[in-house]
Amino acid sequence: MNSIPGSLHTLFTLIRLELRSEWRQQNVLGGILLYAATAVFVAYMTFRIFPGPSWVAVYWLIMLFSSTHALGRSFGPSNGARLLFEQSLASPGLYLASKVIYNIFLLGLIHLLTTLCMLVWGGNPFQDLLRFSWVAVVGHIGLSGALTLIAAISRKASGQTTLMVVLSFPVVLPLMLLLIRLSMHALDGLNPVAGQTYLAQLIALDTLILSTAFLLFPYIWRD
Amino acid sequence: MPRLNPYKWLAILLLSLVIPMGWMGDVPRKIILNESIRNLYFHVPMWFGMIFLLAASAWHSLCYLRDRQMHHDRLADSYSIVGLLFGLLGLTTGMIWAQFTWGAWWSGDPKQNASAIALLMYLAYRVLRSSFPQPDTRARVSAVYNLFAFASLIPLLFILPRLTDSLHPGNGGNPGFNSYDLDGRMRLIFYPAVLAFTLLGFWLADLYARLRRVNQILQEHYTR
Repeated sequence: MNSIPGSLHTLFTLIRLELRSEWRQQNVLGGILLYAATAVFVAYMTFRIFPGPSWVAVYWLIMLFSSTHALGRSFGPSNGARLLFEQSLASPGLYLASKVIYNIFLLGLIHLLTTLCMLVWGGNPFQDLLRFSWVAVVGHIGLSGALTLIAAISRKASGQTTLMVVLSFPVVLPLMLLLIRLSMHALDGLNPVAGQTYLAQLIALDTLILSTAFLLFPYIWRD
Repeated sequence: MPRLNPYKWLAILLLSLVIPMGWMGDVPRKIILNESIRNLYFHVPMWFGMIFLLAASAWHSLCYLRDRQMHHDRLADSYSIVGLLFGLLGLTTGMIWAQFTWGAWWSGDPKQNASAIALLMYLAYRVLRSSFPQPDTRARVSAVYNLFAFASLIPLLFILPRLTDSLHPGNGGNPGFNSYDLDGRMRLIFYPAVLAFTLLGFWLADLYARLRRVNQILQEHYTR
């Protein structure tokens, strides 16, 4: 169990388990994707034509709302039997790692769908669409770490969705500001060198969020 | 004579010095700023006090997670609520000052935005605390959130000023307050003011924690 190959095996098993349980409840995943698509459509109907900066703002707002919604249910209902079952599966670190990695995939999926809908309805204002995509992926790592930890916190508080939003928005705001700034750079096709410090700050923030989440998670997990 | 911890005597001494001197002491005459330059003695110490109080709150949350002593939870709670009070006072004094010098209550200055986000975080902490019925779960989970919030507040204070320029004195090409007080008159009041208001904050938090303890004992007594 403690060896590196053994831990990796457990990690893969946990992620597979996660995928399988998601597959069994396709309506939930479908609901979240539809949520994002509907939000984009409403934004499109009000804007009609997206000027560049509003494209970025609308994209990140929809991303923020649908990811809090999607990741808020990372942990199932909090009852004794289920907690005991989860704790028997793996160490808290591995368990959190499986959730965070799975959530990065989920965010990627929401990102793909939202971007596609935005491009189809709102047009493509980007000079450098590829850079926007990978900047978003770097952002998803931190976003997934923060939102997964907060999902665990709000489950302890009997899992209210309002609490999830209230707790997570101020915490992920620094991440959002950096992401919006870097997206604006991709929009205007600025030289990548101009955004280097922001990118460095984004990676540092990702690292900070992930390490704090891994340090703190064991304390909420065990009763 | 009441028996007080020495730091409380120091707070009384410094405050009785700083408040009259802050209102009446000599300040440089500057256009636009005029007498509002005195805000340095009251507005800025609120921010220093808030950061120290929030750091103390995070420290006690860490202590709680390590040894599970309830008094750490009470202290973390009290420090954060007084920190929040200091933050609100800092924001109010800053906004009034900004209306008369910058011409708007809110101008999207990075320091204004950072303080608004900090207030949101710690208000969320209060909401989280109030949503647990059992004291031990509340203490544990809110300690985790407190540490997480503090850990994301610190980078915010470094990131925001680099994203947009600030109107604050000493930023974005504006002269700092240091250039106004050539003879160090203002500094002579400013540094004691920071210490005095911080000590007052810790005193308030101490009183609040003790009040909570008394209430808890009374409640245990009556439910028995």
